[in-house]
Amino acid sequence: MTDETPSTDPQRRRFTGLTRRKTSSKVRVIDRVARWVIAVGGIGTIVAVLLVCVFLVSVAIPLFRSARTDSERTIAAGKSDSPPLQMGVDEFRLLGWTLSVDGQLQGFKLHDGQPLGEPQAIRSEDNDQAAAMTCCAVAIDFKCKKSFEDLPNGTAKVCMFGFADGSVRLGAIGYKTTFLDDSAVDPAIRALKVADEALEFQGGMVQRTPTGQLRLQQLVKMLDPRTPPVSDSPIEQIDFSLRVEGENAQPIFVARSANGNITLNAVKKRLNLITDESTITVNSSSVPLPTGVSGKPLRTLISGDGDNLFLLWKDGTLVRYEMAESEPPQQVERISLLPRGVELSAATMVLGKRTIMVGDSAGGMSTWCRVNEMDSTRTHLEKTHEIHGLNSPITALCCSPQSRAMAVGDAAGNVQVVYDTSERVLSRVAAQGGSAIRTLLISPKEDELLADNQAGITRWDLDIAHPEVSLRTLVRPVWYESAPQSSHVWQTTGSTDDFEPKFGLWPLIFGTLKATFYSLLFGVPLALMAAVFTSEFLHPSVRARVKPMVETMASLPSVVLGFLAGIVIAPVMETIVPASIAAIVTVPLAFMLGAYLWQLLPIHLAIQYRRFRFACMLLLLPLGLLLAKYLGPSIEQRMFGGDLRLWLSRPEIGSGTPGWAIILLPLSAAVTFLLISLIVHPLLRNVSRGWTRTQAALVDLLKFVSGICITLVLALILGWMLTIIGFDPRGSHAGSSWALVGTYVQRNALIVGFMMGFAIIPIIYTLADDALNTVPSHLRSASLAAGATPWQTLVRIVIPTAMSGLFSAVMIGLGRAVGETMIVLMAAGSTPIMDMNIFNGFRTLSASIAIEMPEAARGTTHYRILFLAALVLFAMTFVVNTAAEVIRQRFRRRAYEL
Amino acid sequence: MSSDVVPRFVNQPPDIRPPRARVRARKIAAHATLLAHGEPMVWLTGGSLVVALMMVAGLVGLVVSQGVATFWPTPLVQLRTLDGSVILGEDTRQETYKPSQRVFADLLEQIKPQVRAALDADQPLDRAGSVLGVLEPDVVKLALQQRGESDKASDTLVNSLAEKILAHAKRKLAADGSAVRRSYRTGNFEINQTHFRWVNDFAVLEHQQPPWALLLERMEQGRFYGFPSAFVVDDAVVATEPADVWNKFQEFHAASRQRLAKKVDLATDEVGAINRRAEALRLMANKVKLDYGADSPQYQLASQRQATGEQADAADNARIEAEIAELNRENNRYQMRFKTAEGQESTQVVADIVRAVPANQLTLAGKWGVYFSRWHEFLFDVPRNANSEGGVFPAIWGTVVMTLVMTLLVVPFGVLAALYLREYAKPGLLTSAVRISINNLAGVPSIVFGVFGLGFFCYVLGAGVDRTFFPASYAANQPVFSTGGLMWASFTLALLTLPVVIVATEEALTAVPNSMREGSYACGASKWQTIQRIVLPRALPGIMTGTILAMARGAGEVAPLMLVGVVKIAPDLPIDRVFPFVHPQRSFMHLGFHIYDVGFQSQNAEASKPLVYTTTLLLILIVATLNIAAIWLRGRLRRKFVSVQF
Repeated sequence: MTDETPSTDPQRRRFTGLTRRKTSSKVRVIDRVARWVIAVGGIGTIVAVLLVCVFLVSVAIPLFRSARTDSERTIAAGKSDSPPLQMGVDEFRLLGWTLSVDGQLQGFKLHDGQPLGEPQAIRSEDNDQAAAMTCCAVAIDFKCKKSFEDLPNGTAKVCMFGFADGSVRLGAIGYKTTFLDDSAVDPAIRALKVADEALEFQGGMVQRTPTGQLRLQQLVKMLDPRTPPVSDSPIEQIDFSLRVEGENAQPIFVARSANGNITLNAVKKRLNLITDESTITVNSSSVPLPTGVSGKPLRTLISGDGDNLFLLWKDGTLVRYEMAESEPPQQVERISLLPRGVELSAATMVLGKRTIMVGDSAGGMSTWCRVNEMDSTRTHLEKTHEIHGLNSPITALCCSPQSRAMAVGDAAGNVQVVYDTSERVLSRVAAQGGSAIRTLLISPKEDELLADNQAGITRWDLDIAHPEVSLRTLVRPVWYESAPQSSHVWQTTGSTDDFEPKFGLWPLIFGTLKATFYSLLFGVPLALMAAVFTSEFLHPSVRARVKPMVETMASLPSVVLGFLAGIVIAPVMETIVPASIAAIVTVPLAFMLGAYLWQLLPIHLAIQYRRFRFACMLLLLPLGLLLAKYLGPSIEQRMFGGDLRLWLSRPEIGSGTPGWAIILLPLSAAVTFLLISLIVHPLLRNVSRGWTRTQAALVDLLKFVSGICITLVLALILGWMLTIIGFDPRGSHAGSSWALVGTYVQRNALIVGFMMGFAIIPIIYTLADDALNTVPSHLRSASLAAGATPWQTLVRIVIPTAMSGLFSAVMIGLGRAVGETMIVLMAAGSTPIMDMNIFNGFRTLSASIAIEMPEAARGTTHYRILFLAALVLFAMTFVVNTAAEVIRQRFRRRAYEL
Repeated sequence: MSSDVVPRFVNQPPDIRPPRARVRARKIAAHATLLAHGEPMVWLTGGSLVVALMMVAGLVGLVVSQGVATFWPTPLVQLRTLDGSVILGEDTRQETYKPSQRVFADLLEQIKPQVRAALDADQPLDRAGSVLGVLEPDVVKLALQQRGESDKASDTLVNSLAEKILAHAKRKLAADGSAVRRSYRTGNFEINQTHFRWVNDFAVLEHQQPPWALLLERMEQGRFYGFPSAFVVDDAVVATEPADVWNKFQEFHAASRQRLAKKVDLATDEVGAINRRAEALRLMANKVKLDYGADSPQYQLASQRQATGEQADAADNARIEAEIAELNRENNRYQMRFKTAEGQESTQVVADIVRAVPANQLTLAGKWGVYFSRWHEFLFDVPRNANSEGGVFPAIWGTVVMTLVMTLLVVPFGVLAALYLREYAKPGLLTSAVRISINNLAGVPSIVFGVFGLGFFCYVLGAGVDRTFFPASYAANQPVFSTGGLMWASFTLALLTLPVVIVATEEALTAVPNSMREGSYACGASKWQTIQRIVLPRALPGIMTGTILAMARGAGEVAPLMLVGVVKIAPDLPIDRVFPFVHPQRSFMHLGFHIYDVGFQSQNAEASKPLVYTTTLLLILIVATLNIAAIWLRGRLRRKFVSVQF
């Protein structure tokens, strides 16, 4: 043979004497090109497919990156003789301002700290003789409220100033943006290019925007007229919040004056429509000081809704007052925030002004939030989070205007950026000079960090990344603001500006597992048993027709299944809950009853009509369903107080016994089966010698019927016992999340389990059938020849041999159920709750991705979390499928060896 | 039982009675034999198969029956009920329920004013007597006599009569107190604020099918049910008899519809062209500004050109506006007046009526006509009324084109990868690992591919394309390719179905016997020649099966598409008459998403449910056809290989 093979060596002569023709270069070139194209294309394609995983990881990984603070630069804007009380930066990071303790507002260039324009003094009236500013409070978020709508773009900081004469003024410090006409400015400014450094112009900064316009940012301040004095001595501390009433925001503020009096004041501003002048009135009430505390309070704070007032003393005492409409504040709570020996050194409120963050002299930080008490409408303060990392006393705290990120500065000049909810320390830097930090600022877009100390202002570029997420917040319960305890929550959108997105992945993973569990519970037995029957007992000609029919089920698009489940079946199922639950029991019973009746047939008839056996089975399904239709409602009437859904939702109705009985039916059936096979069968084996087949079959039937009765009674007794002990399947109290059953929701796990069956049955069925077919037929023949019945052959020979194949079929079905999207999207109600209740909805990873991905902006935390969810899904299915594949390959090898 | 059955299908014990040999027969316990056969368990497994089969049959049956029946015109029924309302509509579904006592209490309150009105109308006693046409005149007469003529409508009399009427209605209930109620599609949303009305069977007094009840399918606001009362041309009534009105309608309808179609053409094509021109000029000017700066002479020129272009466009626009206004005016001349069952007047513009069906007068042929015309509209028209009516042509188109583009992408790459794995790569641990990975990727959830498509194709590749080729749009933050569209959707689905094609092709390549390759080499063919002339032709049916399976999978997938370019309503198809004719960046409609959107997110889910059924039927037909083709090909392929084995 080798001799006849044409050699590629052109030199070699053939024995026939003919010269071998050279392989034409064209063929060679084409061959080489084809080799390269196929190799490159093939490898490229495979790599492209494998790239999916790499890309998902690359998007999800930045979630866990810590914040970046770099480009540190000290700018000399701070003056050591009058330290700034407040600072501000515009959203384009061009100009900043400081408001010093003596009431001077000074703008400066952010990049070098050079002052912009002259300082403007803030006084109680707009003349030089008026009282000087003594204190100032700034609203956390930058949204300019209605009363300052003259300030464009809503970028102003709303402030309230207190003055030496006991009056206050509401005001705003912000930036005016104007777009300049190119022809109206100096050539130097006209020559500005996109991305050039900004230039000073008319006391502001001018820059060319990416769209080519010249944009001028100028610092402006606006002040309302002063209020009548609320105290006769200078105001030393002030805090305010804006209550939105209709069109206007009405400030409510708390002021502590030098003589120690604390007053709560509501400001009303009325506009006279004719004269266009506004009159300001203040409704003051004095805050009663608690007994037993010494000295002036360190901080006075007021909550965002203006309904709570907090006084904090240096020794850590916090007194909370509640304010009802037009009533003096009532002291409701007094707690100690700190352990003995530690002093309170700084306190502020977090975005939304519901949470207080305090820093102590030991460098510790903790946040305190009002939480609802269990089973009551009362609230109390509770420590929700604790953050460590600094060792010197904390001297400055600043909350980000966008999130619950905070900047913390200590006496040693260290600055830390932390996040409240996730308790993450995002970044840590040291300011120049190493002296105590006096004021801190996080810019409106969280991209700039400013710290002021003796050495001046130090600035950093800040990239805060994804502070709200850590591995712990994703999978562990988290204590969110105002929640009574820590919990797993997935809630990504909210209605208010200060809403905090909650990314607990666990509810979604739980939902995924719940969907998978219930669909496997329904689909796996059905698919495996159907495959067994098809492979072992069905005539080949019937089998050839039946198998493609089940396989058509696989080709049904899942959106169709989802539509039918959510829109068609769910509303119907709601009306026939008892019957459909009864059907789970009656349909198998009907088939078994058919079998026992079939046994009654004389043997020759049984053999003769064997080909009608499958037809008989077909008839038994309607029988089982009819039985369920009649039994279901009557059981509901007798045992569930006439209305199953009412029974489910109200644990006080009826007892838990019937519910337990139904849940425990499989268990008691198994026990009964064991009892019968251990006790009755040996007895019968002795007795039945000499019986005819019909006699034996009759006894068998009797055994079956009595078995059913015993099962029922056993289940009822077990259920009764559990109820006596005090367990109720609906949970020991309403709303318990670990109840097995509970309130019926139209779109629930039962529906999903049933409909997902359509998606996974054909896969499991086909693979299981293939696995059973791979079992060599000589094994079967040997078993049958040894006198085993087909059933015995199946149970003892075929199934053990095919076991790993069957297992891998189930695994692949599981993989499909985990990732199914449209069915759960349309039929699971999409509520991200963790609840075992089969009659309740849930939300899976896949459904969440499908719903939320289109809304998530690129690069946001939400976007990356959804990528992480996809990655989790990918990993889950990949692990399951790989396991299945490995098992299948091993099984195949073993089957060939047999 | 036939004798050729394989032994393992014998499910019966062989006759164990021994032949008359000297062997001592072991006495078998009858019960043990029965147990050994495990008959109940066998029946249980059989039952599982039955359940699985019935699930498929029931599901397909449901979809087919509902989908096929949707467009069949049903009679229009006019009902008069006890509470005095008159309803005209189509009987859509019914259910049996147990009415609570409150239902009857409410009904009683609603009957009373009716009775009072009937008694107050100064009619002869016997006519007034059969109040609401329910009670025997004698009963009423007796009651009236007891009360005396003077206080005809006294409270006690009204109450007693109303209760008698209610009792009469209650007698229609079933023995267990359950009642049947039907949901009637009553349309006229602008009047009733609802599309459907539940009516209790026991409350129905009169049930008729008025011959001149008309069903209008309108451009907006859904269906209208009513009686034609006049045909109006230029505000002048030209016909009042229903038959005349109907004739007039038929006379003017086609022309009106043509004018409407022309108007739509003008609005989309010409106005669209003007807008596109203006947009192109604007983008051009922007680009020049970006490239040369605002001071440059190039920019001056570009902005001049933009200004002149805008002037010309304004003139064009005015001309087209005038044309459209003229068409509108002409169409508004022809109107039809209707009286609803409740007696309200309503005027409908003829051009806005898509189809008028005198359902109760239709002959069988007429019914078939309506049926097919509805199917025609469904298949070849665009959706209207927020997708809840009209056709799904753009969705069919989107599904088909997306699937085709996907196939064009997936087949070459899938075949290349399989050829590499099977023919070129050295078998070893790496290739089998790759093979396992590829197999697994077939099981990775489709939504994961959707996420990848959005993140990689749209946001990374698409943004790159935009930055390179459409810098002006990119600067103005108008995504061209950096958002979902037909092309990225096809890419995503190609990636999703790639494992299917690779696996199927590999199997087909494996099935080509090595002897054939060896034969080819023996004849002096090169490797590529062997693959090209011997292997690929043999494997072609297998590759085609894989392709078709991939198409079936791709056509049925919705979840990933929701992330990469499918939309509720796509105004423009990705291929049209506008240069460059193919717009792969456009988003598109898809049958599967249409089902999700209309069935699940529509405001009026009940009214659009029939349409969802037909869409479902269509989608299943497309997917099933592809699958059956694959199964058929697989069968052919197997036969072919069995014959060529040597």
